[in-house]
Amino acid sequence: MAIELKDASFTYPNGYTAVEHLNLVIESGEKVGIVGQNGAGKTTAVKMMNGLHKPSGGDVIVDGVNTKEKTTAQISTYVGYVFQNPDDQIFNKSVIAEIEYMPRYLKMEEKEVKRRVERAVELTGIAKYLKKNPFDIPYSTRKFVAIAAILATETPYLILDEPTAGQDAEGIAILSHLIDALQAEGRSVITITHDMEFVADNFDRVVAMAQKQIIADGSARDIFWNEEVVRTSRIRKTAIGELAKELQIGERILYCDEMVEEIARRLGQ
Amino acid sequence: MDLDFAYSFKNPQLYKNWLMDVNPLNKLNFCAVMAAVGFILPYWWIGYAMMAGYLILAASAGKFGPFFKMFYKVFLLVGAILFLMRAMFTEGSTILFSWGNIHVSVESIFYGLRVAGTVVAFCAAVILFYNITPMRDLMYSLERVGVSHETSYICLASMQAITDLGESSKVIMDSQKARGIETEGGLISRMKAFIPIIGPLVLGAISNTEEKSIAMDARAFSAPVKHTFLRELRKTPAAEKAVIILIDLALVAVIVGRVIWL
Amino acid sequence: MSFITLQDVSYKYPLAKTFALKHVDLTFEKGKFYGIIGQNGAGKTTLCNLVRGLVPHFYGGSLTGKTIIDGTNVKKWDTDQLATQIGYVFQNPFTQISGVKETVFEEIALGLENLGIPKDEMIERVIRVCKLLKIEDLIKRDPNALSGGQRQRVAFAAIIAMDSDTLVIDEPTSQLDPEGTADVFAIIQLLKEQGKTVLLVEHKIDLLAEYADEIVVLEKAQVAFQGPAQEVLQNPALLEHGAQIPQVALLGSRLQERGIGLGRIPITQKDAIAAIEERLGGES
Repeated sequence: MAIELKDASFTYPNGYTAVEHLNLVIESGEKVGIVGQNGAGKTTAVKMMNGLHKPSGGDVIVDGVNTKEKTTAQISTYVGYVFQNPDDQIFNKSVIAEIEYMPRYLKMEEKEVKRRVERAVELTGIAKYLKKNPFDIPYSTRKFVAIAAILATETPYLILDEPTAGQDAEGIAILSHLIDALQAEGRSVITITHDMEFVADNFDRVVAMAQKQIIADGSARDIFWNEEVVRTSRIRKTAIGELAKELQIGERILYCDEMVEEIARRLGQ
Repeated sequence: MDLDFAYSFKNPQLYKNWLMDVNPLNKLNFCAVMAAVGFILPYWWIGYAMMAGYLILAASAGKFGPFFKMFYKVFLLVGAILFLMRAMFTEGSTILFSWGNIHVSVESIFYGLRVAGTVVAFCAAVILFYNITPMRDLMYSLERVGVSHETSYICLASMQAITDLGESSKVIMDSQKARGIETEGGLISRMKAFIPIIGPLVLGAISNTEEKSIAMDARAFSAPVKHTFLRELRKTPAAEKAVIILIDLALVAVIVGRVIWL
Repeated sequence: MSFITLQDVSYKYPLAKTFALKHVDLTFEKGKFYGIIGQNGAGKTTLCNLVRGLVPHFYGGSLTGKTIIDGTNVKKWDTDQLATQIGYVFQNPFTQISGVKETVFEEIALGLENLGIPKDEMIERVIRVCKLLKIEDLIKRDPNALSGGQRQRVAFAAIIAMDSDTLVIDEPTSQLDPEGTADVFAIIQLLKEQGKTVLLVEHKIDLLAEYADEIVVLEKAQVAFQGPAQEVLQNPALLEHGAQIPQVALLGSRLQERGIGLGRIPITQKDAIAAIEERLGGES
């Protein structure tokens, strides 16, 4: 079971080619972070994964099914996609109605609807907002409502587009926990983000994009310590990684703990 | 940076086309006179002559395509209906043929042609004006003759809002599809998808107006000073003013003539 | 010289049950760069709205205490006048584009038109900010067809062009990639060097630590901490108040816990490098 991009390219109707010759396989249960400059093609790439864009060249296969053979709505029951802007997505009068919408649309039993809503609410930490109108709660919380609404479909794959934008420390902690919990259930989470600390802390696998292409695919350490990749995709290391590079100490350090150990080791402790 | 572009604002903005560069208010004046004359003069062919004239004018402004695209629809739809209604139901003495209660006569045909010609010519004058006058140019000229800054902003922003609404409806449609709501296919699934799309669209538009007014406020929109213009149009040439005065006088003459000879 | 002073300020939005600001005492001095941090919902945006006069003039609600801006109580300020004194860039880049201009160049000039700036000067000023914000390539583009990140830069440029002495900036980098974010901070630094007062709401704590002079931490409508950046940002207690501390400060306090402290808690990358080099150099 996997999402496969096979030499996939996409050209918009106005003639602008946003991505070219992407090859990528994302297996069930993987946590993948996608990084790169604005305009590198990240959003277009993930939109091909859930069928919003059908590749203009090559193929995209989701669990053995070619996306060209299904409607976007059909593929979306396998691959959930949370838009960057929650306001493009939310339309119900209350938070709970918003989350229940898809399970009901898919004609699930009442018990199942309830279970799914509870689960989605628990993962996103929005229990105290359930009866509120989504437009009366802060933007950063509304982003969690949008995530919960997609979580309720319980898709094997979940795509998050810039989930950390505008989130505070607590919001980021909720996101981290959510991603881990989904992975523990064998589901995949694919996340586009500009937040390098978040990438290093949460993703086993990082895909770097630049100039419409995938330029690197590997562990966070492989990506952040490949100077060529960092330069081309205009990303940066974690703050601690940057420090290690400047000090020229340690073996490709990325995290605080590693730096503490390295300094302790050097001080003979 | 394209400094030529930046410094191009130092001079009046020119389209380098005689008609496009005419003062928007003068274009408005001309089109209004033409529309009025069509109603005043009783000849059946007058509307058609005007339409032919408009086609030529549109072509000389380089706007034949967009003009014709709107014009032919009005011509076929409004023109044909008006013509048929009048031709069939107006009484006349020289009956050409009858079909039940419907009698088509030479008089009714000419009357139909006249009514259809006048109305379509009126519409065509509006379409012509729309196509040869960019909205922002019109607003600039109106502001210059004392229309308020606010009015001008509201008109221009509403035009943009329509475009934006179209754009955001596409994004919202996508996000609904991405959620698993079927928006493709038959009428029923389209209808079902309608509510999820209209909701965020309306709410988004409402919350945007509030923020937009703050944003414009931050741009000193209501600053208590006389404001300046980056983009200016040329000064209206004397000859153009003279022509417009002649056109207005012609309208007066037509009205007077019509009153006297009626 | 204090430029903006808040004395025991409390504020509630209309119909709201809870305070958006509660007993807030703050002073902002001319020419300094203030970072405003804290949890979402802590009152950061409300503080910006107050300094901009939108609270109470635009939003209504009940405002108590004293807010003095440049010697005049905010309640007495004419907001149109205040708009020319205090530039405001806010979060959502989409609503900050006027929608009435056909090119980015004209969009940026809009505020200058409203201020009645003569045309030749207007052109020079717009050219200057376009260079500053690295949006030279965008000037002929339709501002209504830009991406979120591009709009964010254009909105920022449009306010900088107006050249007000004080800038209130609410999360200007939320849509930007690391490079774009670094650019924005560099520009804010430049503005500070030109003597401008800057109030910046931002979650990107590592960058704030590099540039801000002073930090204000809000928590549940109140001021939890305030003071020089070095002093506030090295305090791990911030973590319990919903705020973050820079990665290097975290490193510093972890080292301290291990009994191998650096002698000080660095908050900037540069200071961290110096401190670690000193520490390692001394031992090896």
